[in-house]
Amino acid sequence: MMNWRNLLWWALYTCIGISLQAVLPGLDFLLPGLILAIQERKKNQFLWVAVLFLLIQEGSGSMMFGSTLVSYTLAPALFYVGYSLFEVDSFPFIGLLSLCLGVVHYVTTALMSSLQDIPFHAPLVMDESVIQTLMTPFLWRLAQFTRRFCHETRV
Amino acid sequence: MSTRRIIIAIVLALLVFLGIYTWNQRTGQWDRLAANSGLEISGGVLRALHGVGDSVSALWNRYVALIDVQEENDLLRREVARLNQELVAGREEQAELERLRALLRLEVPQGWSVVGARVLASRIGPNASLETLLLARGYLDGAAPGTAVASREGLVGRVYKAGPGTSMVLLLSDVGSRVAVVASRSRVQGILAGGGAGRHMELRFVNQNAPLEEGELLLTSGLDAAYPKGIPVARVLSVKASPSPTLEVMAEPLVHFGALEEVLLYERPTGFFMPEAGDVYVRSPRDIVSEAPRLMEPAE
Repeated sequence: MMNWRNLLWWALYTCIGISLQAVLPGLDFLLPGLILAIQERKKNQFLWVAVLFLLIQEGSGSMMFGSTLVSYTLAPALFYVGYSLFEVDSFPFIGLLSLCLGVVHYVTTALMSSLQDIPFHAPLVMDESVIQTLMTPFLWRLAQFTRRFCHETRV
Repeated sequence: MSTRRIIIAIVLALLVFLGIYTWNQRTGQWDRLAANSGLEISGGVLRALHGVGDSVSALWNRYVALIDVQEENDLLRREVARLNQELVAGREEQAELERLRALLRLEVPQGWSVVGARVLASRIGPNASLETLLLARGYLDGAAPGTAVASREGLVGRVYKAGPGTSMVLLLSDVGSRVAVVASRSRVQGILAGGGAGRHMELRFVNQNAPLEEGELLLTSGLDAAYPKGIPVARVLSVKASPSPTLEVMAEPLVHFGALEEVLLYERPTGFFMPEAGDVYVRSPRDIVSEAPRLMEPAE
């Protein structure tokens, strides 16, 4: 059962993420939160956070349902692959995970654009993927730092 | 976990994904769920943020700034500062009033009704592949998919998908956008196609001998049944002969999409043929043609 601080933190994080996405289009500001939810290894929390973020990203996006589903399914899969090889709470591991997810974003956008007959702007999506890769570890670190104030959910 | 199990898991995951994707492509259920929940949450958060921003701005202008001014001992400077702030706020309100008055002066085609909507954001999130705008109106209050959207300068686009209180507009500038237009002076007709963000639009299917001139205004012809007739859309930039049987005509939209704050939604008359906004990208022309007779039946 989540405490009210935890709920408040997720609500605030979601609101800030959505407003940042409105200011900086093409980027996923909810992804660092999803990584945090995976790291905390609480199944219920991860499930509702993943479903909420999935619906937000798919709902506010202009492509058909599926792109975020791929990214958000591969995020925990890649995390558990890295679990046996790396220190998963470390900054370099999150950087590596972020790089993989950046590549996934580029590939899924290209694939989905082709499937839906939507023009694919390769340079723009490449820029977005690179910025996303560079930005995610720092946002994750910032989010992780603020999670310390939710005493029940300390990483 | 053995290699075999991993392969089986990957294959199963792919099959599940393909199942979800194809089922959604046929029925649109997942898209509807995402629009009714995710789009609505995003719209709600952005509406709340706009509301908070307005309130803070109003509070600052009315109270906090006054307290700061009171801290100054010079009575005259305090009064001037307060009046200046009121003047700035007044100018902003006047500008908004003028914009809204200009919107109200737009002629509305017979049978169509219009409602105003606030622009919340442009492209949002990692799946924002198309040129879009987010509006603070949904299918419950006049922004059903396919609804035409215009500003006081001209046509903006049409609603691409909608939740109950939030909707997404596909802009004219998007590569997938097509509008049936007619030139204001020469009455030459054609299809205006979007060229992408920051690029010119192309007027297609114009005969080589058509008397089209540079600088002519292009208006909606209403023949595509997607937009009411007579809304200004773009201005002709260049007319060149080409090796093909048609002219090469470039045009620029009249609307500066990045500066939009309010727009108008044109609600269709009852029983009007209403193509789905999603048809632009997800259906073949043959499907649309086969569905047209059913869609053209008058609503009961």
